[in-house]
Amino acid sequence: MASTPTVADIGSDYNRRYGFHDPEEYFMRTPKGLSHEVVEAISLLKKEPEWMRVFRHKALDIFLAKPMPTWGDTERLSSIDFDDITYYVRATEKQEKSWEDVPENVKRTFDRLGIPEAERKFLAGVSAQYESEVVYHSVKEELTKQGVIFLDMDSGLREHEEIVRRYFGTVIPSADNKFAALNSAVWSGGSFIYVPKNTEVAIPLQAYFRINAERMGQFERTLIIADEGAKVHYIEGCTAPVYSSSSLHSAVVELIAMKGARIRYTTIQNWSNNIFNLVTKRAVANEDAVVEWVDGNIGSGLTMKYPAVILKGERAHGEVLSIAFAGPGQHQDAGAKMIHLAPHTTSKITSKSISKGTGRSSYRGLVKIRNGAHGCKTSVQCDALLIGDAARTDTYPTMEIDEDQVSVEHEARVSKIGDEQLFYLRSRGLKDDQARLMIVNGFIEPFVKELPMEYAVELNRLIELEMEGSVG
Amino acid sequence: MASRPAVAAPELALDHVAALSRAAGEDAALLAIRERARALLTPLTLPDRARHLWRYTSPATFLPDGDPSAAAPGDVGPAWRLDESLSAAALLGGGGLRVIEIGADARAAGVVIEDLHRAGVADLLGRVVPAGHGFLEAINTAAWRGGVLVRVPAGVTLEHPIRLRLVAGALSLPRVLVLAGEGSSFEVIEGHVGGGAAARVIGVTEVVAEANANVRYGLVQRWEAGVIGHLTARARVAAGAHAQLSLASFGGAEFKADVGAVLAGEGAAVETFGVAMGGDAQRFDHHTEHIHEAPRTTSNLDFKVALTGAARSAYTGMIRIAPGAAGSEAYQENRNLLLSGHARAESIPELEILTDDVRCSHGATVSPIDPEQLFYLASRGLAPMQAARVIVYGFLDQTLGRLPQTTRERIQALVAARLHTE
Amino acid sequence: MNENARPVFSCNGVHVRIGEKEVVKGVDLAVLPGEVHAIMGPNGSGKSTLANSLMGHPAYALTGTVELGGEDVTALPPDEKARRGMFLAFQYPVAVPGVTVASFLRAAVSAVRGADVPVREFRKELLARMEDLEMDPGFAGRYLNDGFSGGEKKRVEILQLLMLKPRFALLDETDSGLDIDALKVVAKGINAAASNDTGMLLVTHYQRLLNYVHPHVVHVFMDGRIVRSGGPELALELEERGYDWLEPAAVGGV
Repeated sequence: MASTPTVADIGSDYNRRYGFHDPEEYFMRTPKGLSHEVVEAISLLKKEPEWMRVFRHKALDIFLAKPMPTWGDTERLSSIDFDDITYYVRATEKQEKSWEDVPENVKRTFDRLGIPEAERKFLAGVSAQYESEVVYHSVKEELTKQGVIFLDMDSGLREHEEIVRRYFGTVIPSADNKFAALNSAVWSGGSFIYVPKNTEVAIPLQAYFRINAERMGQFERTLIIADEGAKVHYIEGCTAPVYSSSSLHSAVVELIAMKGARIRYTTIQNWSNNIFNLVTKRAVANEDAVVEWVDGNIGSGLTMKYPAVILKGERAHGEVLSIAFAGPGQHQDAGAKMIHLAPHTTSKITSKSISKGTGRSSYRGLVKIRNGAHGCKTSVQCDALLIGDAARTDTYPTMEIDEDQVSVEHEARVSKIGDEQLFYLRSRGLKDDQARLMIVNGFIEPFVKELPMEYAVELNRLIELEMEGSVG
Repeated sequence: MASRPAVAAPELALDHVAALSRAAGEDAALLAIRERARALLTPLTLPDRARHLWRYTSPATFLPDGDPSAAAPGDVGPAWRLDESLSAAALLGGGGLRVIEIGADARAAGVVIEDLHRAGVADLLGRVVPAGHGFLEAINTAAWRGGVLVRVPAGVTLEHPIRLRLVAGALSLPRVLVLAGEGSSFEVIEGHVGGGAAARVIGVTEVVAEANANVRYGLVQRWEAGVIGHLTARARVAAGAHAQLSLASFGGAEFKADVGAVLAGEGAAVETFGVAMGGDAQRFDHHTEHIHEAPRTTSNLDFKVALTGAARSAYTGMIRIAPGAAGSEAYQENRNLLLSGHARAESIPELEILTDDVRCSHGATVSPIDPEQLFYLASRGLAPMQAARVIVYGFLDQTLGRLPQTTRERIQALVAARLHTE
Repeated sequence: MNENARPVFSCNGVHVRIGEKEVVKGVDLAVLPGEVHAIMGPNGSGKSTLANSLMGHPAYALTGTVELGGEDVTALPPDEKARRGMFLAFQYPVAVPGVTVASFLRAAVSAVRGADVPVREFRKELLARMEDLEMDPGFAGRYLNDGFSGGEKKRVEILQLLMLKPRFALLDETDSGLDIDALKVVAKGINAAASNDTGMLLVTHYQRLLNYVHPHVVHVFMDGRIVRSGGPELALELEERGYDWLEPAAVGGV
């Protein structure tokens, strides 16, 4: 465990730490609602190439034609009013490379969230997105010298159009699902990363996403390409203010790991409870490549997110390690997908969830093995911890196996904090809430130990906040 | 929210419900149940394929071609009589109850086996599987023909099983109602045989286990090749009662089953054990459900599938623990053995847990025969086919070992026979 | 041991019920600082129930009074008893996966001592105590009781005893499941704690541990009661003659 929790440490709350908001004084915003005019305006403003403009309009048609999902938390999904959302908001005129040049109000926001501090400490590059656009972006010089490209997606499209055009939307086509179509129509910001052959980015690249405005949608688009033998770790963090009305975060993230490449993508999602977090994340892993999704869902009212790896090349390996914490009123509908297309590919899914109060966490997963993909191995392990008799957990795994020479395993366990565990810890002098927190921290330890130190400390602190007042 | 529109389906004619009811000698209450079910089917809407229950099999597969209420009686199966290893026996075929035999002991104990059409138990019908359960259950409720009531009075223990044999005709809609009185203890086996190319079956079985009853219910499906059938078998288990549901699927071309139990009273316990063996182009789709509604209920499920040829199997399982069911325990295990490169298995074991005071786990695997096991057996002189048979037999037998002796031996013999024809 | 000392632990008229069933039927005990008492009795006599209920296990309903250093602690929850210097070494310590021995012990030591112990100081102390108990230093990084062997669990219980330095410790069948080498190590730990003025009540089934730890007082516990108390010689007598001669009927009127 990264830190020893004590009750005295528990103090602040989401409202104070992340829940503040700045006055909404914006450089530019589109009118509320979604139409071809809005899509046109976004494309025009970004001075995009024609193919991207067409791509957006086609995606909007797909979005409008596609029904809402008929599975999952349909009740909450149906409360999204697509006409009451602002799809594009730009806070600043241009993107800054120096922290001092970022407008005061935006800088204050990220300062309060500790972003430049983190950058100085341990990041190779950082990108900060505020509403629809990236407002600050900085990359360590040695990376640029190595040929590593780390840009916001809009700049990526401008400066490396040939690469973007080749890969954009190939892993997640617009028609994949309704929210991927929405993102494809109105995307703005996100990260574009290219790591050249046999290049290792030793320290993580980071992006930080912040929604400030009420009833707004953030639709960042991220594309990461690790060329043959390359290695990269990307981390993203997300927060938003607490408003009475909801905002929508609907990202699309595409990862391409070439032969022998290795990508790790870490998310600590701590959106406020009025955010719908409906995200599509998918990777293609070629021969001998390794893709790992490390996914922490603490915030949002409803999250629907199932990071996927398409294991396309022989011996590719995919891994999803996720935790979800569903506090009162939250529904974390998270999971993973592993699609085995090639022989001898392997995958592992580890999901840990905690439901507290009226919180609900669902694991929804798919493991698919195509005929001919012999020698595959896959294992799924889901553990759910329930705190309080109104808490709920669901496990919806799907295994579709078209090949006999494979090994597929799924296991799930549901438990509550054991009375004997509590008595044991209390007999050593720990108070009830301390003992509970210690058990929860132990429960998520396999996840926390995969995080960089700073994130591990931050996550433990978040769990502490969530566990506050959970006695009895 | 605009939900996905249900698939438009051809009208289902149910024009002879009243005539069917009259001809079978039913009372008005039973006819009313049929009419209400018919109302649910007009207009006919088929379930959404996106729902996992129907993800692997099209609902339209099971729709009868003509008016099921006008179904012509099918052939009656071969003569079949009670022997001393049974407490009672009944043969259901040709759209009616053909043979009923009740052993002396069972008769003395007040065991009732009678024609469900004339049993006067309309008030008990549909309590476990209401017409609204699904469109096939509604079709059965409106148009079932040939039914049997099994009633074992309170406190009666039967040493030998009750065997029901259901013979499939061109279109069969059998209905079975098993009533286990308080504290009764017995075994009932429902065996499905017969049929032929393009024969259809839509069957519904309800098992009511009163307080402290102990019921072992077995559903053994060994239709001829070509049968397309759907069987629903559900139990409602009262306080302190124990129900064991065993399921063995061998035959037919396309078979879908919906088996499960509601643990309705405190301390109820349910075990479901199943084996399915598929070969050639057979398609199986099994769904199981354990619904824990009362405190301190326990359920255990073990379902095994072995597939050869181009057979396909889908298994979906649900354990649901309702908010009031504190102190409950539930375990679910599904293992699939694929014996050919063209066989295919889907497994969706689901959990919905709505209270924290539970112990619950499930597991599922899909794998080929372990080459180490094959090697070991080969080193002891077994040819590959022989070794594979031994391994498959052992795989299924781990589950069968938990069944009552007579059912176990019967199913073991069927497994062995099947293995030797592969 | 100070002859004039006041008891560090005492209990009077303790009855314990599990549901409807009375398992402990009236127990009085007084333990002086540094004094070692052994409670011996056949399986199922209620010894473990007594130990767990004295610590405040929520599954047991205890009536009577329990005092620690003259203060009535009967109704206190287990963590407050621990912070006042009471300790229970469990017969079956539960696993807490994901929580390392070191981080758990640091939290416990901080809770009991009422102040954060600096990491460096804590580690030094922990490693020293682990060395005393012939434990591999790598053990500190393992998850608490998770996958531990029976002997490892017992050593970790004694490690906690030495780190938390309680005024009074209950040791529930700490000798069961140990090989002779492990038993010697555990006994060494118990003796070290006793020489530190910790009062102790060993709950045990066998004489074995008493070859290495010499109790001042031995109690024979049968059917929820102490049926006889005496010096160390009583333990030897039990070893020779078993428990039968002490059946409540044989003793009569106790």
